[in-house]
Amino acid sequence: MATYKEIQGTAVQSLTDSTSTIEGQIWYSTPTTNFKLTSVTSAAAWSTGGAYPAVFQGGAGFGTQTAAVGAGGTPSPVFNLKTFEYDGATWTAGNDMSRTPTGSPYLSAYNSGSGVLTAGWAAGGGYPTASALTENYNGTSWTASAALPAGRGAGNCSGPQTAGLYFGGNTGSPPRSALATTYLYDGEGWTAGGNLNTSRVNAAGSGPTGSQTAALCFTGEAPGQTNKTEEYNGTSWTEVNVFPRSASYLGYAGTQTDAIGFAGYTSPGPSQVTTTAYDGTNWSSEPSMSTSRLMYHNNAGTASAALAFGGEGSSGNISQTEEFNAAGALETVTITTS
Amino acid sequence: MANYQYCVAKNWGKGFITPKDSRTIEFFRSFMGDLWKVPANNQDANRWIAGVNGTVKTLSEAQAIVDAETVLLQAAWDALPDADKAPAVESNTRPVNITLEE
Repeated sequence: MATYKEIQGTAVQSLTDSTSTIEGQIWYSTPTTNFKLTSVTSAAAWSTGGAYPAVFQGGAGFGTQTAAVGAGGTPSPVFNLKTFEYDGATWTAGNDMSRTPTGSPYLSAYNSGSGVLTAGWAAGGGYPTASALTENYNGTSWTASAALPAGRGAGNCSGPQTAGLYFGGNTGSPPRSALATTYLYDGEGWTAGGNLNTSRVNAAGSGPTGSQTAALCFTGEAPGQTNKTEEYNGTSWTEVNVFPRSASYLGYAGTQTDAIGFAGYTSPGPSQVTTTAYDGTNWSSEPSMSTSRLMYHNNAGTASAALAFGGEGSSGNISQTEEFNAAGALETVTITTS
Repeated sequence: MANYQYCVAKNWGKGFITPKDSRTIEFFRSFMGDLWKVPANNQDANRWIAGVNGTVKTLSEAQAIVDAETVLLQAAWDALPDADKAPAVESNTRPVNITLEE
């Protein structure tokens, strides 16, 4: 009988995770002590992930499905400044956000974040008065950076730490009017970008894989819920095909040409489980999640490998994590003899 | 004939519902009280329930679980100071009753 090495030209590797594997590769997982196969998914699907350490909402999320970060949120003071990192299976505590004064309630509620685990950033948030605080994360600790030009709550961060943008949100003080502003972030400071055509808060967007020259914004409240979708080209926002329904508090991931929106709600109905994909032109339905929830930017990943954690379920804040894998995405299968 | 069946099972996280489960069973919905709704008369769903050590509940038993949880949530809501009941978001309202479907 031919050996694996004779067929593949290389021996079965012992690895800690699937990051470096390719389609069809069999490998040995040292943490779980069993053999794995990296295969291609035949159809999109949501599956359960490791639960967030406790129920929460209103914190930032960024990174990838296998290297994600959750930061801040409510209830206060339990989650005020807490940071947790996800490795694709479990969440572990990291160092707290650097915001001060640390005793302020809801200091990081309704903030937003973007970037990757080793180069992330979070901005705005706070309740009832929103802050302009911006922080950078290096995979270990948070460092205060230049403040947003103005306090912002419940807006969207998108793009990498050195070329990100923050769009929409509210003024941060009652009556917290929805805004159309866009601010561009270079990791150290902010400049003004073009305004959204529709002011909005609690919108969905392109997430960590968006960019300053290709960002996406859809749904939200202005203050009534909207279905409007807009694309940013580095200078201005342009309205494109609308989301299939007016909604807000959706989770999101992806780019301007490959994005998904999930969960959220359409007033006056309950929280939803639906997933909708955008290909840069049209919207289409994808499989639903199992747990309905309102998302507060507590999401991460890409349109082909997204992550939703926590949020506000139909009966209060929740801790459930769900992972979305699009058709054709790589997934890891445990090899068993049964 | 019922379209759905209910079971109680504790979601342990990764692997509780796998991508394969999700693709073959196609419908999962969670409710309060660790209650799960999956298709009835579905071998894959039955296999999943067994695999997660789920306890099958009749519709009336499942409804009772959700009702009991809802009563607790509504009582907790009613006990809140009026200031905390003011909705920070539109969805921040008193928990509503849920009617499960067959």
